[in-house]
Amino acid sequence: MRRALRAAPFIGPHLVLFAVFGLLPGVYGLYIGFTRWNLLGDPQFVGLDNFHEILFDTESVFHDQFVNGLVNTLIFVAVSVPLLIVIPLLLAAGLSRKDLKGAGFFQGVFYIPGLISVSAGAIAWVLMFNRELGPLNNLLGTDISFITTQPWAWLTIFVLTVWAGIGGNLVIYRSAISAVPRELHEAAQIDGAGTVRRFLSVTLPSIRFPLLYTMVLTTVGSFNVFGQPMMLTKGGPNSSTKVLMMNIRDLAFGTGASIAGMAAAMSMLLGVVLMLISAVQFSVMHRGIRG
Amino acid sequence: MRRTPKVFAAAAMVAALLTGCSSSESNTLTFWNPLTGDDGAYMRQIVQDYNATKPQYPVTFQPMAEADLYTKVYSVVNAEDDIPDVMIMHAARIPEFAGAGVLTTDETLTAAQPQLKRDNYQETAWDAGTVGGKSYGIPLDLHGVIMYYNKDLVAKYGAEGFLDDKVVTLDELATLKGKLPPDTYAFAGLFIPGVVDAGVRNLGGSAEPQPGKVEMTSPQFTTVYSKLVQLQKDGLIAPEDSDSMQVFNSGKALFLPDGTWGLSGHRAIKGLNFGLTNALQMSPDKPVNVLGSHQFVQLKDGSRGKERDKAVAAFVEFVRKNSLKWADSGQIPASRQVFESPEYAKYPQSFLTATSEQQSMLKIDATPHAGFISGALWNHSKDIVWGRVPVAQGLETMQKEIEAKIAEADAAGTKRD
Amino acid sequence: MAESTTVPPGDGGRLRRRTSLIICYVALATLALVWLLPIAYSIATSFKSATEIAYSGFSLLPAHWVAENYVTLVEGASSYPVLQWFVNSLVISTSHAALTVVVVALAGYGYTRMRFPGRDALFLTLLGISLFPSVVNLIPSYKIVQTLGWVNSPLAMIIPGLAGVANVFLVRSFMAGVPRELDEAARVDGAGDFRIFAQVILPSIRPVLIVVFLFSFTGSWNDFLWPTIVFNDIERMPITAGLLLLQNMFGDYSKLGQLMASAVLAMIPTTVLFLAAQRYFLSSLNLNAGLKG
Repeated sequence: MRRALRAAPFIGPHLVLFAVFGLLPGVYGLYIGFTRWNLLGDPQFVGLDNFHEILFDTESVFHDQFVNGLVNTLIFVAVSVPLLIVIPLLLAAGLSRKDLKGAGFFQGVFYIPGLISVSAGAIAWVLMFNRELGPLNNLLGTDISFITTQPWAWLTIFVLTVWAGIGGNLVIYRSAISAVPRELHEAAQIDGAGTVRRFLSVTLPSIRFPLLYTMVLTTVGSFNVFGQPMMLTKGGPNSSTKVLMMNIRDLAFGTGASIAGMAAAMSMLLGVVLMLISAVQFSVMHRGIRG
Repeated sequence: MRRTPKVFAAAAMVAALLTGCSSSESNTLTFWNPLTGDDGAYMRQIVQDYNATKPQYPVTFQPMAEADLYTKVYSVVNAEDDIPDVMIMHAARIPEFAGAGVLTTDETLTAAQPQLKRDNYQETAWDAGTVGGKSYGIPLDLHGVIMYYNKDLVAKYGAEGFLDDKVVTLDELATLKGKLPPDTYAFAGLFIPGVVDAGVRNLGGSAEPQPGKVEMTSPQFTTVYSKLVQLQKDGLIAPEDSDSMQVFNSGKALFLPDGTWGLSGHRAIKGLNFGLTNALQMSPDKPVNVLGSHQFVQLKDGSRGKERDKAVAAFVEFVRKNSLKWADSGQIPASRQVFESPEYAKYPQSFLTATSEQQSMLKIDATPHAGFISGALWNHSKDIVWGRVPVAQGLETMQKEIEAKIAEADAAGTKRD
Repeated sequence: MAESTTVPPGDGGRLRRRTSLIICYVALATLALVWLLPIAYSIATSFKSATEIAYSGFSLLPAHWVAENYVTLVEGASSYPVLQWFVNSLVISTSHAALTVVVVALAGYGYTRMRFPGRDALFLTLLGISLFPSVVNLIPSYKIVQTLGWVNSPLAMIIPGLAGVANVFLVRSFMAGVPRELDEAARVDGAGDFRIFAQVILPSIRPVLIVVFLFSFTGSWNDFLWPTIVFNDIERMPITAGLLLLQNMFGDYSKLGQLMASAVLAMIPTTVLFLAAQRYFLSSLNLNAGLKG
């Protein structure tokens, strides 16, 4: 008890803020998942109806939307997370070379898209893929309908995602690598380890916690993907890039009356999937760290 | 390393300073609206002109993106505070908010300003604010998808005949098959949902003939989509991923279904010789122009006194008399005094209200669940027209989707007072 | 890959090192070019006239550089308090980022260095809760902010974001890598928690605190939905939300040039701030974490 009190000044401020601005709305959101609500009237409690319909009622439109949205989201996660981890990691390793000049310049260039809001970045890429005015088709001499045919539609989404997304992880990796004590490298060198060996056996283990962080957070971010398909493909062609978050937003804040209860229930289910996946990531990484 | 604590101190100071500034009640009317960009500039000017008359309650112009406006309304309705004195809502959304019991009828306004009455407005526009026999909105305008055409191209490919009766039909466009060079198209299809809506009503159909009863699989829908699919297969519609505006503005399409609001954009292109006509139809009989309408509405607010309501009425009345400027945005002012004035006759969109025959063509897209219907049309039209989904199946999907949403929405409760 | 300077001497080694360095440069330069192309092309397009965009087809650079798109935007902007928006953004983003660093550093210390029962379980619970998407929570969040009387106040944008768990997680990840011998040595010298925190831990995690500052600054700067909801007065808007008001409601593509110009304008402030701070930022990253003192 006394130890908890001693910790209070440190974790207290965040804990209070979290309770008010994270937990409270979250609990309310959970409650909404058990209601039928149009965001205007009084919510009606319907028990597990929404969850039951979304998960098990194969006749239901909302079931179809959930399944299709979740599958598309998983496709996005499966491709984008590895890209968003590996590319910045390699870049960070390259930029950490002591004989490389202009590392700051390059890091700046790769980070700039991260400074731009998704909407502005997407506008730039929509122009790149534009049929009449886009440099891609025009410079490559191709005639590809990027945003309306697969697999190109997915490609455009991944391009925008990687372009906008590597900067953050790159900065984290650079900062983590710079914190690896020089002595470790020197010791490995004396043992005759080459560049690649040292990267694998010294650098990677030393940055394992930031690595876990980026893995979990990149996965969370990818599950919440929305802006890229919204701005580029509008979910098409034939709903093949329509991710779950698009369906949730469309239900809660769409072109007609809000169907917030169903949207909240889908959010909850998405959250559960995310928790399970993060738990796996944690246990795998921790086993790796200890073992 | 000493610097770090300084950051902490600075942060604490900033926080302390900020706590000091909070908002205070004022003698101004808050006016929320979804009028951004060029449109916003014209409305802002109208508001400034009104404030220049030194009213007791000047108006604060508060524009925001359309989607955000409704999110914000949901927020303030739940918090029951900071509710705007007056706002602009799309006619298509009025049934939702009126049905949930959060809108006031316009009686407070019409009582304060007797000139705010149906006779003084374009009737279709006025009626767009009416739900279940009660009037909730006073119209600012009508706006929607009509037809633009490239005069030079129409002449070049001998399509003047299409425009004889001011009504271009899909069948007429179909006759262009084989007559156009490879990169020139009969029309570019950004607003296909608008074309479909007009086509279906032109054939006497409707997506929602009775409140809550949806007929997306009707013969009219099937006919319209089948025709569009055929035009697409014949290479008459610009490619799906092309930029419709770009195609039309660069002289590669004879026609373009586009919004009244798009006028200034086309005008900015030097050398583009274009005209406006009625929306693309299925048949020359009983043509229709399906339009939306911006309406002044008020959200219920127990704390808003009679004085403020009167002030709102005075502002809406000012707009009624002084909204010629609004025509600059390409929209059709709903005020009779404005749209019947000789000055307005100079605007290209004035043909839509010029004669009683033209006015009888006006239809409003505000059936009780118009929002769900337009959402489904936007979601699925391209898949159908470009052949990824057969017509019947696509319509079936829309039908199911809309029905499911209606079932949820109609079962939701209303607000207790 | 790091620390190649101390590879044993020898011509083979040097040659291999030089070759790999050249490959490195070529790869980086190519990538950098790809990264800059969309921005450069957006900028170029924003200087094309509407008529040129309509008729000339594809060209990387404008045939005639014109400023008409910017002139229209600036004229439109002249009736809006753009300068005020910019100041608002600076105040909001800076205070939010500074407060985030404070809250997060404290919490990170608590979750790695303090020992109390259920510590890790508590943190993982917070993390787990934060994983749930919060779209629908917009309405309750607004209600809370309204109850606190923060509608129309910058506090509505500065404070709620401090509840985020991601940054605590990040800092905790870095602190876990700081050797415990350091604080134990300090403790032997009689230092209390706050002294260890301020004099030992903070210096060694400075790089990551700077990263946290940067992330929360840009995150707050680029947020455009929440500010629209919590401000009833356009004078209070931050710049990202404000600039959206200059865009046409139907995202009018016949004004592609204008759209690009407004996108470019939206990119400028954060990019300039970043470039200005980059030197300080980088030297902090390359501190080698000050682990030695």
